Amino acid sequence: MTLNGLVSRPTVAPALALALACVGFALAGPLGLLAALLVAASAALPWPLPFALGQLAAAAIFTDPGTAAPPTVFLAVQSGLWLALVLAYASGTPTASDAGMPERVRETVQTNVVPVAVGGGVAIGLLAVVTVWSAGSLLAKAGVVAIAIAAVLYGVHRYERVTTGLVAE
Amino acid sequence: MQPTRRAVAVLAVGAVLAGLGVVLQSPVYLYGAVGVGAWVVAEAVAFTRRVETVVSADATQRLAESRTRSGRPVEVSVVLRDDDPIRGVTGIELSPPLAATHVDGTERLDVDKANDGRNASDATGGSDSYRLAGVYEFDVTGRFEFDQPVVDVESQHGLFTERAPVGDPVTCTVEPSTPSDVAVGQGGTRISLGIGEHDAQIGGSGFTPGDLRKYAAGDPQSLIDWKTTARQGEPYVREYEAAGELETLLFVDHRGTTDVGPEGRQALDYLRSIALWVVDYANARDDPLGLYGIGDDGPTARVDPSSGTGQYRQLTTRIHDLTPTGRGSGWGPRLPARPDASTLVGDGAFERVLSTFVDGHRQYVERVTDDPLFDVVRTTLARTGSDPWIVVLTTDANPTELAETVRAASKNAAHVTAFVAPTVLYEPGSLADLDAAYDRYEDFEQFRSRLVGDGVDVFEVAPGERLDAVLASARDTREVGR
Repeated sequence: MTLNGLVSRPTVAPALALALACVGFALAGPLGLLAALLVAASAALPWPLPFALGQLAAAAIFTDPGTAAPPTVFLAVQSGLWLALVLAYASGTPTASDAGMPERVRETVQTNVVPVAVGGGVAIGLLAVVTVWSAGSLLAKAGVVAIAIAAVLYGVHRYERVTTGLVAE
Repeated sequence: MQPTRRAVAVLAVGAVLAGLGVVLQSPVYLYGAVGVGAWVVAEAVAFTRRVETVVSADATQRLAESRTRSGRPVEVSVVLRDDDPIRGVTGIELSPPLAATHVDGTERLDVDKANDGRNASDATGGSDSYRLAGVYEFDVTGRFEFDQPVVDVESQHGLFTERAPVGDPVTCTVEPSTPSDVAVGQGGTRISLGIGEHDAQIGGSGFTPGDLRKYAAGDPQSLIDWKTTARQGEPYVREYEAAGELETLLFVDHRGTTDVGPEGRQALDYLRSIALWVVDYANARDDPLGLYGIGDDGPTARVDPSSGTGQYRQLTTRIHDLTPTGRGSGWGPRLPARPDASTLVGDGAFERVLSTFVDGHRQYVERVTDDPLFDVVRTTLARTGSDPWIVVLTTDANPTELAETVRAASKNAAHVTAFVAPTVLYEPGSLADLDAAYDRYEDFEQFRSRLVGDGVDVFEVAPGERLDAVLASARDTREVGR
């Protein structure tokens, strides 16, 4: 299935990905079932709030020592949340409940390839820092994430101001 | 790229997740912070591409006419068009100069964001073309620049906005609506039409001293009563009150004979300047002022004397609208030229009385068409009870009529002032032979001098440069003769 085909119904694609995450939550036990319902309900909120709530719920459930969910369930939840985030952005729908307009969505996906690639690259790099870099504390990792995102945003901001002629190079 | 409140809120969500990760010692919260941050980064990149598209679109700003006159509306339009889709435009705004006053049209086009501009009311040419047009007036003259129009752009999810200038600025040259080189004088000697008190000769008794009061910031220095100031030790001013009103009747000849000279510098344009000065003069003193227009076929308008801001504004508007009737474009509705007496066929007392008036009116109209200026002045003065100040604005094209008019007016008016435009100084090509032009000017000057008398002033109204040229040639000729 191509990306365009996947998001031809924009309300469906992120929702399906979010459903995958919800299934993962439900498999994590009774508390996970409650989290699944919460995340499913959050699909009506503007993105990226459903993603943030999902991560909040995932952190609360899977870091609980009492939860004995296998790693595959955690992976399913994360896969669902990240896929939903990408699809929600690529399809250009502020909320997952918007009615679909296939032609416009296809155009939006095409114009959003570069932004999604840049954002995805930043995310992958930072996730690598967070998960692989074992030497630093979580505070240091959070600082790296904040600084990296701020630096990228500033770079994009300068690029935009210069290329549009609003400031001298 | 300006972040919106929504962007701040989204970043705050990411910051909260990061904070929870540190506090609760769980990297999973950081995953959320990374995801939210990446979302904002993607939005910023997409927004940059969107702004680039808008700025690179074909934006054309155009003035309907690059040269205009003060008080005359001019339209400036902006068209934003591109072959590729233009997304994210939330508004287009004109950038007029400070001196411009918006009088009509659209100064800002708000694009319907829900439809991405596809159904914008003022948009034309499909989804990727926007048109905006505003109409402006200038009260001051000079060169003014309409800066680049500004396009408001918003990101896909509303996290960022930008105001980007597009297209090129355009320059508008505003010229005065009246000639700037009006020379008023006698025999080539110019006078200043300054503001002053009523001339005693003109009938009014000027201003009388009124109450004293303490000086307030902004009071003219000339109003300070120095004796009282010396006595009191602090500045005092004396207020003055107009001792009497001077009724002024302004007769403006705008027949075809005033249609002489190049466009914008015709005799009527110069006479119009004088007429506007008379209105200002009366306005400054709150004098009752009436206006009578004379066209080729008779009176074209009559505004009886009155004072008040509305009256002066009405007269100013009418004077501005004045055009030579010889071109077939008189101003205002013409007065009824001939009452219809066809229904007065009976022998009753009613029909007999009315027929008398109708017959008399018919004779008046016939006389008017012979010498309209003379007849309008004469009949107007016959209706006027007081001794008004008569101001006549005309050319020397009909010297006999003008002489008769001045003579008739002087019998019934406190003072008569005639402003006469010598046609020799307006005719195109008349200065090719300066000697001949000077001879004609001398004839005019002799005629003007003959008109001056007790209670009658006659001034010439001419283009300053052309008058100077004629007078300079005469001086040169005299010096060569020596």
